[in-house]
Amino acid sequence: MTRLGDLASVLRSKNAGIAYVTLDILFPDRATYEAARKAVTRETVAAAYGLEPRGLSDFVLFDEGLAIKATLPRPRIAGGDGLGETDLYGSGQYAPLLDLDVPEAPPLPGKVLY
Amino acid sequence: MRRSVGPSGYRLLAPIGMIGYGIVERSLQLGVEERPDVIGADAGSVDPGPYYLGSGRSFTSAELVTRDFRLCLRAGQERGVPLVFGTAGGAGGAPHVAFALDCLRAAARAESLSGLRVALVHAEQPKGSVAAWVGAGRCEPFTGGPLPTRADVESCSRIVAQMGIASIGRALEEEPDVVLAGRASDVAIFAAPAIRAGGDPGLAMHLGKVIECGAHCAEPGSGRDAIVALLHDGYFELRPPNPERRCTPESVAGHMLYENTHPFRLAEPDGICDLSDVTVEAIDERTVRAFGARFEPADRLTVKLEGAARIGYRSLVIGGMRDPRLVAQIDHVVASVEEAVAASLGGEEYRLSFRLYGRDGVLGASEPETAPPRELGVVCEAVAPTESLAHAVAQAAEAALITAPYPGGISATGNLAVPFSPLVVDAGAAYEWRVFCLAEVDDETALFPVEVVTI
Repeated sequence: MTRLGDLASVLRSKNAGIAYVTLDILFPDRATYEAARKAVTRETVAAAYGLEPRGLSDFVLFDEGLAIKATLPRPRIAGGDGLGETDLYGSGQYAPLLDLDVPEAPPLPGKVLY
Repeated sequence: MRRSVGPSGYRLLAPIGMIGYGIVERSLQLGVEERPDVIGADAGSVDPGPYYLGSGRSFTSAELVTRDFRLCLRAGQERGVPLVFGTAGGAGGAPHVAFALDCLRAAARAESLSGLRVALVHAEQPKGSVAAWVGAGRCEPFTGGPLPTRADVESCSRIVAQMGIASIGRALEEEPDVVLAGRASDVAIFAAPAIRAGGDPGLAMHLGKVIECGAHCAEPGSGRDAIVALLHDGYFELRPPNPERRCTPESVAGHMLYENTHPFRLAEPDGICDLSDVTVEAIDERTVRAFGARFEPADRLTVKLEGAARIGYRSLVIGGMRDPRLVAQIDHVVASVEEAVAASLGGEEYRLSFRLYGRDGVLGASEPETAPPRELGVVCEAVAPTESLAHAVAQAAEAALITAPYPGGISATGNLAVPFSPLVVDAGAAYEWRVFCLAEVDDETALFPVEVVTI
């Protein structure tokens, strides 16, 4: 099994404004991007966060940039309500995507596939 | 008249993505050797949350801001070029600009410089003006944030509007040594001088967006390192002065996704920068060339408003738990603590929350991992209308946490591994964003007055 965290060249999250967290997944080459596109969908990303597909406010594929971008509404305005904030910058929210399975991924250099 | 930056182009140096994060001297020096025409840097952000605008304090320290200003002043004087700083003092309100000006004075003294002309651009707005815009229906939501009421406006400790290219341009008209702007678009810090030098607005805005985070657009990326942009008619080039970093088409294109819900349309007070036809190509191993950005001027002027209101005071209890039996029953323990605090302080107005690091402190409800941790880091947060009550709530919670019984417990000497004395940390005032929207306004000159001072 190849995990998204092993395939992506960049996998990050950050606030986009104060009401959303945006997730960026960038790939090193077209073959990896094409394989990942099949496994990284609105449905699988939403599920990774325990959401219904419509729970993502945005899901975009950037073929030219070899990138996938998904945006989630924050559970609360950044730093808002005064308490209960878990991640002011929104920069720690990408972890659930690290283990997303990408079945048709090209072989990773130097790794043996079973 | 056709716009042109001339045959040599216009060179901009961003020594760092945030003043006060610690400029890398060697990179700054290498950047200065490339003979920039302007040196600019972002000096604030809303990322660190509403506390800083609300309290009037900077999230960057006087020591580091003064140090970074010293290095920039030295570089600016060496090259005889102006410095442009936006969102001064971390949040760009009146006390923040005053703080930054004090740091600039200290930096100038330390560099034995005097007679420097500083063009301040003020961004804090009178609450009466903002209330009038709300009342006149001139406010619009901004990326899902709330629309304020008049009461929301009144409750804020201060409100700033975010200035754009035109306002910084007016400051540059004064031909100062330094532009020290309050809350400003980070793009405008660089786009304003580039446009004033004859640059195409679309290219200037794209360039400004890429370099305002310093070398974040490079590979390996770093917001703490420098970047140089060279604007020509029809394109611009990017290269980090630090030889260990390079700009590639991937690193620059990847940066365009950063912090945006969509990378193709950049909204600024002055208009939209359309990036959908941008091309980024490698010129050499470390340099890229970008072109294709287009500017669509706005037919009406809208500015972003930010206002923070105090919601009370915050006190914290921090400690660790290493007994797996206790950790496994933390929900039961938290419930008993909440009950105990309510019993001691019932009838008072307060809020209590627990973050459990090791379990779901970062991801909260999104945490997929269910395996029980062997250790928990507990951060207990109390927020109440007065400092005294917030402290009392936290103190009551600490007492209850320490002594809480749980089934199977055999260790009753104190449940929390407390890392320091005092037990309760009083964290000062707590704030929330209460104004975070767009407003349609008539005249940016009236909102963002320029004041020239000599230091």
